Amino acid sequence: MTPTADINLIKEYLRTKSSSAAFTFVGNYQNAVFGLCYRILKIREEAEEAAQDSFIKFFESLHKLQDTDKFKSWLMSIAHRTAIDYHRKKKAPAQDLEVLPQSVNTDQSNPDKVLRSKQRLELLEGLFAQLGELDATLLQLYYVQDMTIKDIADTVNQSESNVKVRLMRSREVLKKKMSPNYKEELKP
Amino acid sequence: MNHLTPEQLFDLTEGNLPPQEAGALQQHLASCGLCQEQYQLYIALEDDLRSLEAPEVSPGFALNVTRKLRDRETARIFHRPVFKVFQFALVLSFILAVGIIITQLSSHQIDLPEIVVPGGTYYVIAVACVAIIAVADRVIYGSAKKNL
Repeated sequence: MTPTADINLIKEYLRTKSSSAAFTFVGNYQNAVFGLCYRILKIREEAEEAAQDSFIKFFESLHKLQDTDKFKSWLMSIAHRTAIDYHRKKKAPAQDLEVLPQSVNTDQSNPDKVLRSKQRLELLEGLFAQLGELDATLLQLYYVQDMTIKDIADTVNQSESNVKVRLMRSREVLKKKMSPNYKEELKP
Repeated sequence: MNHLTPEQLFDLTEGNLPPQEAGALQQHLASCGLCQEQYQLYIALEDDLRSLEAPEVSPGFALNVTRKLRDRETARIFHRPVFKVFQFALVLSFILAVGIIITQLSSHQIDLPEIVVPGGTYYVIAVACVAIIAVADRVIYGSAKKNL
């Protein structure tokens, strides 16, 4: 599905409130929105609830969207704010990147096992899950959703330079923690 | 040339640099083992970050959202002030109708009178009421929509 087709779905919904247009649109973006909520909330049920709320807020505020080309930033921005609201209601403090544990479930006695790609990704998932809400959002939008730094800046209401600095910082921290695994793998 | 900064490494791995600048950094990488190692680590990390799979939503997610949207839209219609007037009018009509029937039954005149209002029928009155309500609904709802 191309963005143009999605824009047409949005226009159709605005014109006719068509349930089928809404259904198709949600189907196209449900994993993106849920993925972002999940990165922030870390609990599947809550993430799904936040994702549903995000879509409803999106459709109900569509008439305010000036430029339909920017619908994805608009949608992700709503999802980000909704997930953060849910997170604050839980009152669970986000952990700062610098205080992440040095190792998460790594089996140092068996480096071969750690080297296996699946386990390495699980380790990375573990580290990802412990990131603060903004850092997790930025990484999710940049690496998983393939959004540009400019679009991410619009989405999270931060400057482009701030987004870039935070991305670099998160990447640096993750690299430090993942280095032992990668070094083993990169050995000639 | 000094070692590459984290920002240079970021821009290089992300392909954000103009070809000339990227070429100069690549040249440095070729001759500096330390920067080369850092670069490879970033590449490996980014490959992994891009291959992280977010969990998928439960089946029926889109259907639930669509259903909720429709329910909310319906609820909004039923909560419009004019609809409340319509509901009140409906209840009042029902009470009147029951009253008429009871009156007719108590006087043993089960058949409804042919014409009650001079020059009109129950049918004409009913159509007129519906038309008035429909016009009032559009006028009031139209102005309310503008204020949203």
